[in-house]
Amino acid sequence: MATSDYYDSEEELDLSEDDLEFDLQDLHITSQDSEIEFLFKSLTSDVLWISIVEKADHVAAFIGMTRDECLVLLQHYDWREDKVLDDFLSLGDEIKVSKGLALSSKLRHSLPLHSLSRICAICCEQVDQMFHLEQCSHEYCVKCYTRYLSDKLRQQDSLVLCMEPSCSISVSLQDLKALDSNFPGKDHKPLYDIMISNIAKNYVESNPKLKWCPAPDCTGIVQFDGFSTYEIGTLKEYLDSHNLPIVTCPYSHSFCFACSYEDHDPIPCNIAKNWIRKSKDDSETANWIDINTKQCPKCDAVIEKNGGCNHMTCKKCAYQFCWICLQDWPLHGTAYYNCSRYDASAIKEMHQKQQTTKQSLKRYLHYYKFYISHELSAHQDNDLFRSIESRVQEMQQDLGISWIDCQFYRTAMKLLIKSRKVLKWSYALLYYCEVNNYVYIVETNQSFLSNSIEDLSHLFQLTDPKCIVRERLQFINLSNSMKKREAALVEIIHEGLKNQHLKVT
Amino acid sequence: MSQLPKRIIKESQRLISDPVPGITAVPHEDNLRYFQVTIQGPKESPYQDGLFKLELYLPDDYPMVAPKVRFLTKIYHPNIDRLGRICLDVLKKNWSPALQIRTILLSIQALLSAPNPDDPLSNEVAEHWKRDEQDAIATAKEYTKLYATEQ
Repeated sequence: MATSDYYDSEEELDLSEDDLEFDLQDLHITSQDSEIEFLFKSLTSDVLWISIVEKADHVAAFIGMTRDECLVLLQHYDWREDKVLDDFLSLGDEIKVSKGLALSSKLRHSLPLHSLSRICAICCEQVDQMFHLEQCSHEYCVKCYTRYLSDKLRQQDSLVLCMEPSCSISVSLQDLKALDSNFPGKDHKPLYDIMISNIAKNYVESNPKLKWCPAPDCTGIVQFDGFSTYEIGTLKEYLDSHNLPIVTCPYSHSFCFACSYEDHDPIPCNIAKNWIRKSKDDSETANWIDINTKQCPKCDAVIEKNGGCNHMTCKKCAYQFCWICLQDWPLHGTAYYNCSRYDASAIKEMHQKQQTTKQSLKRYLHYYKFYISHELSAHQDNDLFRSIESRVQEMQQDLGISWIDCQFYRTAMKLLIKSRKVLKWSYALLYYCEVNNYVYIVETNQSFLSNSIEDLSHLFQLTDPKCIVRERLQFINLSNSMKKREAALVEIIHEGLKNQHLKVT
Repeated sequence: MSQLPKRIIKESQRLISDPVPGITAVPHEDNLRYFQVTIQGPKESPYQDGLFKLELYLPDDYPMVAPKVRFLTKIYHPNIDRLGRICLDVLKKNWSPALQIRTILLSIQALLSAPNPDDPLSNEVAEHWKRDEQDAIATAKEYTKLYATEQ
């Protein structure tokens, strides 16, 4: 009876907004004891690079080295400025020796290069373009050096040494710039750019407060900035008090900061992880085969018995055997249906085992079906989301509706995607929960939310801008009620987990 | 087969014209990237008087990637496993295109003189080495006599 929740006139809509405000106040009261905010900043890789360079320049100003040199030093010290300064104070310029830097950088790039033909020690070919690093004099041809560096950089190394094995000089950004200038073509991906992203990777990975966005090909970064209260100090404490650090990268992908997986609110990281692992590997297929089939004792063909008597004849090798004891059929004599090796207890045990596995499989498949169908719908929603802009434009141009008046459509879509995610993960959670009355409550809320979601997605099947505008109120009402139901489900699950009403096995 | 890079031709020529003492490396007739190698066990090591056969293959990307080397003769050594695979830094992360076949083979010979049980490939052998070095050396000598000496 989902429709009974909707409001059909403006008046009632206003009323619902009042309701909402009231809810918010309620929420505020409860939030005093539980809601602790996880503070974060989202950064693009360009912004991150600026802060890396600032850090290097900061060190450079203290110890009188170049930015490139400091970038190398900082990587050796896990980006700890204090350690670099400490060692610099005790060692002076000697700090450079073990860290791949030359004591004095007198050498200049030999590019543009010697006109004399030389032989490169790597490819043994006669070449006329030789190259050496700014800080050492080991010369190899430009082609070999470029190949060597692009290989190393592709392996995500950010500290690459001179090719000469006895030389410990690190390649600098300046060196890469000089090499890149030899390949002005479009086909050449500048080594300089790869190096920058490698250094950034090194920086992010050595800093537990920074995380890459896990979305495919996304280069966004999220920086953790503490909590809204000092009662909680560490991420672990935050997780232990049943909170989830859901963050959003600058390209609006949301993910969990603790496990770097997509937003799996309302369920905890470990359950999400187990579920993903379970649904990824095909263990359930193997289970099905285990329960429902036996192998021919002679040729090992896999047989499913879907009816008939226990006198089996293998289709493959024509061997005749008894389905129950898997022995040669003639041993059974003429006693049809009467297995001579019948052992009541053993059979019962086997039956029971099969039954429990069967049940657990059934349970899994039940939840998996719901999970995966919402996952698939979520993909379709995402596709739809991409086409929304054009539809909104149509509305604006063809029907002369203002931008702000079209926002309901976009908002409803966003809410739909969010609710679907919550619902999807709640199915995964229930698979791991002991069956009790609380689970029943969760299931009821799930079906409420599911109904709302279905109604709203049904509405999104409208493609004609006129119809969409006509149904504007319906969009708003449906998405509002869906939002409430989503919040209710999330709250119930959070409460259940917190107070151990939901027992995770 | 594509034309052999000049680098490989030069290295092969030099290995034949100016061989390293105690080491031979001969390219296979059918595949010039495949070398049959022998290394004499270094003096004052448990492998003394042994002659060890190895195979060495130069991958397509050589010299940007290290050659692949494997012992064919059975050997009791903490850094060499039962399949003859070798744990040596210059064959892995410390490879540099400026290194050569001859330098790699010399490093392997040096590894025979100085086993490193702290960075083992074969755990059992390494443990044996750490627990009772004398006994492990005796086993290594026995292996050398059994498998690496012409009867």
